[in-house]
Amino acid sequence: MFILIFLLGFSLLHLISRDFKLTEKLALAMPIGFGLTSFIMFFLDRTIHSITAGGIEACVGILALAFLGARLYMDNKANDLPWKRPRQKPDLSWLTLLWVVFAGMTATLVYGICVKALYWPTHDFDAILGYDLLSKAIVHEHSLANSVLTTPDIVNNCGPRLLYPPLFALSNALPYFAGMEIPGLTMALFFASWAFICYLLLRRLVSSSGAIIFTFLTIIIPEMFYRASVCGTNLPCAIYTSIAVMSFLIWYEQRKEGFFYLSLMAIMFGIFTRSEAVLFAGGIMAVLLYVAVRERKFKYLLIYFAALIPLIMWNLFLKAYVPRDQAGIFILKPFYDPSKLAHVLNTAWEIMTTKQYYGVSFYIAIAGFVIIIISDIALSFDKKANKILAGAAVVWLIIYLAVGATLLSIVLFAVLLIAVAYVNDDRWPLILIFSLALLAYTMTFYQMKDEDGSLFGPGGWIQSGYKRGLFNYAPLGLFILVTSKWVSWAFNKLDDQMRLFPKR
Amino acid sequence: MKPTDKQKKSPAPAPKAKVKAGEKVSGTGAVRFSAILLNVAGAVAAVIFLTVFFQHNEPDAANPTGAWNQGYDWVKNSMLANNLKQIDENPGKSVEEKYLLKWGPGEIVYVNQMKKAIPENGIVLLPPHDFFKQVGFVMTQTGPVLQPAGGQNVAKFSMIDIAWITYFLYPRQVVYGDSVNSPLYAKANYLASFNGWGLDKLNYKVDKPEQFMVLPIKK
Repeated sequence: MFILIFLLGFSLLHLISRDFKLTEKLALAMPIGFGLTSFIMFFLDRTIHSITAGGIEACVGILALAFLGARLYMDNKANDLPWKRPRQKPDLSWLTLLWVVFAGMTATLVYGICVKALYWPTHDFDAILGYDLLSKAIVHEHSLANSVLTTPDIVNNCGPRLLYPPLFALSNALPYFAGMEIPGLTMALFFASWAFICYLLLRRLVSSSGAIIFTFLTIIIPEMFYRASVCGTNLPCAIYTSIAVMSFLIWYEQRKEGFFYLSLMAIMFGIFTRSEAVLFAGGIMAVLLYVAVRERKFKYLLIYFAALIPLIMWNLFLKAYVPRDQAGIFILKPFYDPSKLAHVLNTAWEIMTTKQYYGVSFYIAIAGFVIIIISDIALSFDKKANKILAGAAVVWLIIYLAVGATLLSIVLFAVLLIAVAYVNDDRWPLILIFSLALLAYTMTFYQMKDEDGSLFGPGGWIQSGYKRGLFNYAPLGLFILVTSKWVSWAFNKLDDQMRLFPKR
Repeated sequence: MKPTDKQKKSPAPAPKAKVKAGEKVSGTGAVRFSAILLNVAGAVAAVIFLTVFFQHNEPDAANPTGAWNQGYDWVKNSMLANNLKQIDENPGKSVEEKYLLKWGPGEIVYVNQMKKAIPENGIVLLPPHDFFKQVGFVMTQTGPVLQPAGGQNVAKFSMIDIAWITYFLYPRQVVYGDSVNSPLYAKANYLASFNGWGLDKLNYKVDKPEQFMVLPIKK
């Protein structure tokens, strides 16, 4: 079954575009395969009301064959069949000893955590009272609207963790469908793919040393690494959102159509895992709006609205089948409470900088932002706009020294950073998407009710929910630094000097 | 400025490589000596970096916030290393045995007993929620023993959560003693008795009551 899912993901990527390299298709095949298979399972549930191993295998197999057939037909029509193309000699110009050391350590860590994921049965509270419980019911009752999701006592006892969109619960059900007793294979495949995806997407933008060092730093983010061996939705969601944002950036810079559609697919799968991924869709659509206005080309913006389909689909399903008597957790009208705002921002910062959770990831990201501002302004100071931005940076520093880290100073810093990146053509879309999504995500917690102390208390919304939601942001924070103009330039220079094999 | 223009721009033009005597130029198929040296230096630097990055630090009372690399140290040297060691030492365990390894002989012992005694289509009657609030268990060598809640070393019950116990017993169904209005209450065909609770609901007499028993309600 898992081989079929891999082939499904691979064939879909192969069909979408010839922009993808073979290695990229191999790395992305599993997460894309899981995403599409979960849609197939949802479709089976809604149409024939029966999700079975045989049904999944048949649909996945037929679709994979159809995708491969369609690609071959198109290639044949263009008289460009794969076996008629000239073979390229392998290029090893990227290989350095530094790469070998970091790749070796990354591979050892990924192997170790996958062994752990495959050995232990589900023991995480959120999985027991949520995704894995739902997975078991899907497998036994062959339905998504099963006794777990339709029994009021269980739904209310589990809380929101049972009500996340179903991509992970459906993917997590696949090992059970395949006859396994422990669902760890799903997480292991997600995480192993993640290591390759990080590296290969970064390689599109930076040289091999930069890509492998930052792949290592991403893989070893402590809380994310730990959660790779535990059933949970946050890590798969972070994988999808990172793919969506990075492939969008590649499309924006290189205009390779395949990456646009990869971004769209990934964000749809991300939203079908956790609804909060919609914040990234918002950030990407803000950039697409800019493209649309500037180039008078609205096609991409309109197509990207499809990202909202999974959100609508899942909410309609919940409304139709799931009995919920939970009161809303959000305050729906705007309000201003400076002490609550300060409390949210301080707690958010505490979590980001807790060494046990994120190590030095957010420190590296912030150092990266400062490096971008200083290097972009200083190294192109002859530009008039940079002189103005230097003045703005000084004004910001004065404001920061006067008021400290408040919402105002944080927003102004983000605006300054985006402006510097825009003026100096330094991957501003990545910074804009990251800033908009993180700010919106943090402010979501400000809008939450705190009447029973569940917002700030131990194990409350911020301490557990916000903490793991940052999985989406820590990798992107690291990617902003390594893909920035001068840092990537430095890595390129380093790799030029270290090159052992000729470039092909 | 168009996004497509980006490809054309580069941060700074790379200076043309000057070829020194005795050096071979990259791109011609030969390897430069300076490149080999740089690679060795890079590898050594990487090894030093990784050694420092994962350096193990014992907890230090003088520095309660821990070393800068506390998280990385924990994931590699504690969490991962201990787990891999435990996995190596315990091959071929069943899921039930793995839960015992992970959690120790606590409540999971009761759960495993229930799974063995109740068929998959069974409905089990558990004591009321208040009962679970009043008792807990302490671990002994022969398994968990019930004690009044609040006693020394008493762990509380998780099976007070319907979702938790449903997860472990699924597809068996669960109903609590205080859920008399539930349609499952009248259909329950098994009883989980703790400290003698519920024995009066059986249509037969139990000769030797034990602290924990799983029994069919009708014989």
